[in-house]
Amino acid sequence: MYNSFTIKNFRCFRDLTLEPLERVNLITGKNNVGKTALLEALFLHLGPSNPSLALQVNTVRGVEQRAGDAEEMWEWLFFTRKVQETIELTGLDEDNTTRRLSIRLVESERAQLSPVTDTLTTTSGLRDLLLEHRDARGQISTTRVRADGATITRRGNGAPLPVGVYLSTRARTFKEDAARFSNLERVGRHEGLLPTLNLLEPRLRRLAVLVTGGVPIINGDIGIGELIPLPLMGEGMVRLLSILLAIANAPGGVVLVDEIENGLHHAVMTGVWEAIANLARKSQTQVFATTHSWECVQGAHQAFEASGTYDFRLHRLDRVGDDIQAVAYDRETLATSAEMNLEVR
Amino acid sequence: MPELPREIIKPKLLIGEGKEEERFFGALLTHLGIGDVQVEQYGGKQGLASYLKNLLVRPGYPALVSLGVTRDADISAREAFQSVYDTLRNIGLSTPDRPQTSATGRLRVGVFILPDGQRSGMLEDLCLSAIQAYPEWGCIEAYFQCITATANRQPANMSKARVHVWLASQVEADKQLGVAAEIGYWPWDNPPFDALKQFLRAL
Repeated sequence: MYNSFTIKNFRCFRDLTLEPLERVNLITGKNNVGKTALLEALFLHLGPSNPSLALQVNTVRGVEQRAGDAEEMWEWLFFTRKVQETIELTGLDEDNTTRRLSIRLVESERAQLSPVTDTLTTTSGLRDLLLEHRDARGQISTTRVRADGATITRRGNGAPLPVGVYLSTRARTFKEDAARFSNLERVGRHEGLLPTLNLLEPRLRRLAVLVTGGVPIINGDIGIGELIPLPLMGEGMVRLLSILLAIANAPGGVVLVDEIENGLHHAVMTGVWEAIANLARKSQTQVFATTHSWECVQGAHQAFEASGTYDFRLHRLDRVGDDIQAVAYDRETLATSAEMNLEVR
Repeated sequence: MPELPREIIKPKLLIGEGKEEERFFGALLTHLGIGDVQVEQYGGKQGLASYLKNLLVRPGYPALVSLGVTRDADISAREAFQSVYDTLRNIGLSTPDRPQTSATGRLRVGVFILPDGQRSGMLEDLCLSAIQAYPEWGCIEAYFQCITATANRQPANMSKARVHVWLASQVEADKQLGVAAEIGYWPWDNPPFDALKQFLRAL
């Protein structure tokens, strides 16, 4: 579990440290202060030897990569596109060990023939993305990847890393959800999800994976004589089940949820947070979520206040000049905000 | 419709103990034509530390340039000031040397102990000071003498009771201290308000 996380030269962050971190962390802040970028940084840090993540984080934002433009996409990972700098993502774990991922663009080891055109221009050399990971024991592993996606070299094997799951606002994960549900059903834990889903649909009495058109999809029984695909029960139902399945399937890992309130009515937020808190503790999973919703923040505070263990922290990202800074709310400051109706977002 | 969470939208902040103080100071600032001071309440003396701790993490705090803290003296202006002083210091905010003044720092912090930084008492006593020269003041005193003589009882808080009687004698008889300030029942131009006005102008 992360105790603190530091980001340097990534996206909109010149140098940001998020601390102290808890079992469940809710990130808030105005538009374009880096809430999603923070989740992306954590996601990259959780998969330091997977170079495709560096492009996936753009894809889930809706920026489609075209053949040959990976370099440009990579460049946008760097703070103000300063590609000569090194991105550094550093996590301090609860056992006081540090794990660091450095990302930089380096001259490619391959040669390229310049295309023959009528214009005479010089072009800069091709560049590869180099990911260097120093694990908790100080062991270094590197991964070098070409712009066409091919991994050129991978050296060293670090210690096993926690599982990371990123639930973006755009991506729909029906197949992954079905697989995660099956994992729970295999060990008889799937029925534990129902009480939480009943917050949204009290008639729901059973879930099952059915294959429709060759695609496995979770269906629900609401007593109408046949199962219906969960997406037909609404965005909130799918969203909530995705979150719960991700947490339950990432024991000891980290789940990242962008705009967690999407599709959820404000009246159920406290119940949803109670379920997330219980599941995260049971699975030893750390959760990072973003929100714009005051009801979501209040719901989380109420749920953790009532749970007896306040393993929750609200972090707000603020733009100060050209920099982004983080401010953390503990139990007392959040209680004051809730009681006096003071803005926290 | 639920009230939106409150944001810091002005560069200066004045805080009082409760709702009545919030409305009272808001009305006085309006009277003075001061528009860059936001007024809030901190939920009573016991709430000051939590309020100030929360202030440091609120959106808009970095842009705040000045903070004015007001508090009733109650039994001792010196002890009330010391209490505010200790709270400010524990939070890490700058601390003025004495009441009715401000300390410089990244955030300028001033403390005003009501009614006047010297006497025991509260906001109500400041308001009463401003009307004591009026002829009807004798009526208020006579009323309580009559009640005491007739019913053999006396309010525990005479300052609040006198304010209620004064306000009950107005055209709109049901107003509280803060609303009365908004309506214009308190004579802002009377000298007892001068120190407070000076404090607000200097924020």
